[in-house]
Amino acid sequence: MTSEVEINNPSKNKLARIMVVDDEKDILRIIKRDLEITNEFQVEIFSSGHDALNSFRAHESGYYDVIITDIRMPRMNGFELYRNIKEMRPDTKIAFITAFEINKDEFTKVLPSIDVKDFIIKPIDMNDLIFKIKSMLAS
Amino acid sequence: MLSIILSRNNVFLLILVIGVGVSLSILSYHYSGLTADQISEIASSDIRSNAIIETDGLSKTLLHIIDPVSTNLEILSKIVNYSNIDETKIIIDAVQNSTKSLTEGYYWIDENGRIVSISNVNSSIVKSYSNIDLSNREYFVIPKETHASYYSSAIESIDKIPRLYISFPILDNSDADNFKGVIVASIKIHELGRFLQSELAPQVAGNVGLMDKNGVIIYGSNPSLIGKYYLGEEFQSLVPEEIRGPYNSLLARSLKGFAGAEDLILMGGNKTTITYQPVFIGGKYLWTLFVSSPHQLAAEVGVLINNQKNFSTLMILIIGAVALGIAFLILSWNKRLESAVNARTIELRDANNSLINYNKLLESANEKLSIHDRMQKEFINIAAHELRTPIMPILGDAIFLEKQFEDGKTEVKVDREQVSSIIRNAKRLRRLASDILDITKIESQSLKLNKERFNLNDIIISCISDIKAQIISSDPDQLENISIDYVQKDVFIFADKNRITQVIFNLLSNSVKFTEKGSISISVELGNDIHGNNYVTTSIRDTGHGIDPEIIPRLFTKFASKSFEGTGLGLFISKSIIIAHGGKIWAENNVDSGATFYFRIPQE
Repeated sequence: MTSEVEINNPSKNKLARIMVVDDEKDILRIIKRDLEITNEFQVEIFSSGHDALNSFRAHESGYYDVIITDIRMPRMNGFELYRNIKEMRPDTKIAFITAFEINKDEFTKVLPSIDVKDFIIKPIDMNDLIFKIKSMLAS
Repeated sequence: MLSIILSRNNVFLLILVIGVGVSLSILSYHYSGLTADQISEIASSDIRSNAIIETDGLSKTLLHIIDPVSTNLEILSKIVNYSNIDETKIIIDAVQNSTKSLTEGYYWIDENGRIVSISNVNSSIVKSYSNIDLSNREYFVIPKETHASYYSSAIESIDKIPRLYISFPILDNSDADNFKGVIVASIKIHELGRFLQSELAPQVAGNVGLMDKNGVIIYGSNPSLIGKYYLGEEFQSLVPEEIRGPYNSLLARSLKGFAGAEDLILMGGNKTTITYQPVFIGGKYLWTLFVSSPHQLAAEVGVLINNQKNFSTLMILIIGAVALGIAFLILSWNKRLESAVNARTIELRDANNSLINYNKLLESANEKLSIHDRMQKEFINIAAHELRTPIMPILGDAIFLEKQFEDGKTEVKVDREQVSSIIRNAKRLRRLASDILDITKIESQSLKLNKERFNLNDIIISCISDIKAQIISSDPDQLENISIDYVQKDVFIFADKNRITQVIFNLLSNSVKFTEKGSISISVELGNDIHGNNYVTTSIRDTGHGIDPEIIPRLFTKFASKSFEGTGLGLFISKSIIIAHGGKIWAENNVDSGATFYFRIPQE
């Protein structure tokens, strides 16, 4: 598997930088396109947790404004990625996107610190996703 | 039964009962014995005092009957007249008649020892005795010498009848020193004895004896001993050995002129009280009177009490035995109760155990239910994931395209990626739909096979090309990294072509999924079993991750997937299809790397 790291466009420097992690390439493509088309976000997409973590580690603190990751991924899943990132930079804003049926109890069992409001269920309505990201940026 | 009853406690109880019984018996026996001894002692002392009184009375009686004889003799000795013998004889006859109950006769003997007259014997017969010389007889000699009365001991004459003689000297009235003969009275000892015996109170039930002061027996119950010395052989031989000592010393004491009463214990423990009383005549101690009183009453009382004692002891023993029996019964009953209780306890425990087992069954049923529940939830989760995931890119592209029409355009530009993404994801949805349908069929046991004859080789080739197309569509780079090897071989089988295709495609896509880099090789082997049936074994070997050991046991169950895409239903469906064909499906990890999946189905 190869990572897909979009090279930043200097003209978008002021835009919020969003990291999106999902093993479904079709989903990555849709999210990137639909977020960037608003001209408010700069989106970097990764098809595995490893690639995402490497990129996160390679950049300075605050480089990514918001991280959105899938949960069910090969090798490193979304929760592991979450833990690794939080260990490095606890104040990083992370949300999950998942196609699973979610209930709070099941997730608090895995990661007690996660708030259920940080879950976004697929299929994602793009307007909802944008609203969610904006509220995270504002907090 | 004995061994069952004789537990430690029970043995103790039994010993206790036996001990109490035996102690009671011994106590009772002992107490009865004491009582018997006391009563016999009281009886004995009563007998003793009675005997003393009786003997005293008897001695007085003796004196009372001897006295008239003495008096008669004394008078006769003074009035006999040699010059008038006939007249004197009348007096002598009268005297004899007055004491005839005791005396045999009175004899008048002159100074030369010749008979002058005999009471109640006529003078002609007396004359025939006149030549008998009696001058050497003690009843003649002693009064002659002493001028005093004489009382003989028992003397046997020629006729073998023991007699007692009392004699008084006839002395001249004017000259007391002038001895002129003796007057003798003879007393048949048997008569005396019978008299004394008859005088004895019947309650005493004893025997009378008379002995002179020298120890010669005058009268006794055994006539042969009369006249015998008590220490002589005849008497001693009749005294039982064991009482000889005390008896002899008693007799010796009795000859000292004092009254006494002593107990002799005879053989067998019988007691006899011997009472002795000295008899004084004319102020001289002459004889000793004996009365022997066997302690018949005491012995009888003793026997009675002994009987009582034995009876009560026997009763106590019987009661003890009954108590023992009851104790035994109670113990055995207890034992039976105990074993009944034990049996019931065991039953209860068994019931409890079966309840526990039942609970375990319930638990495992519950567990199965909860597993089922979990699997159901898992299915929903996976179904949700698999349904939602493809929708997003389809909907995303469709909405994106639709938005472009909002600008009033009648045509929008669609790139190839958008179209193939929509197709790819739609196919994914179709695959899920068919999987769910298959599962439904399998679970409702309505999976139908449409068997036909076909070449396995054809469907393998088509599966390989389909999987390659899929790889190109989803990850073109992967195709460069993996090779799919298959040596073509025509193998005709009779099976459900679509289902077998489904199995091969499923196994192949599994291999591709877990082999990012390496090779996948497919081979088909023909074989037969022991029954001669032909089988076709297809294997798909990869060099991928291999199967997680954790998964292997449930590899072919639903949702066993460790992959991060797919429904986790593929292998379950494959297994169901192969089993429906009467075949077998299995998998193993390779020694080096990767795994090999096999399925074997009958050729026909």
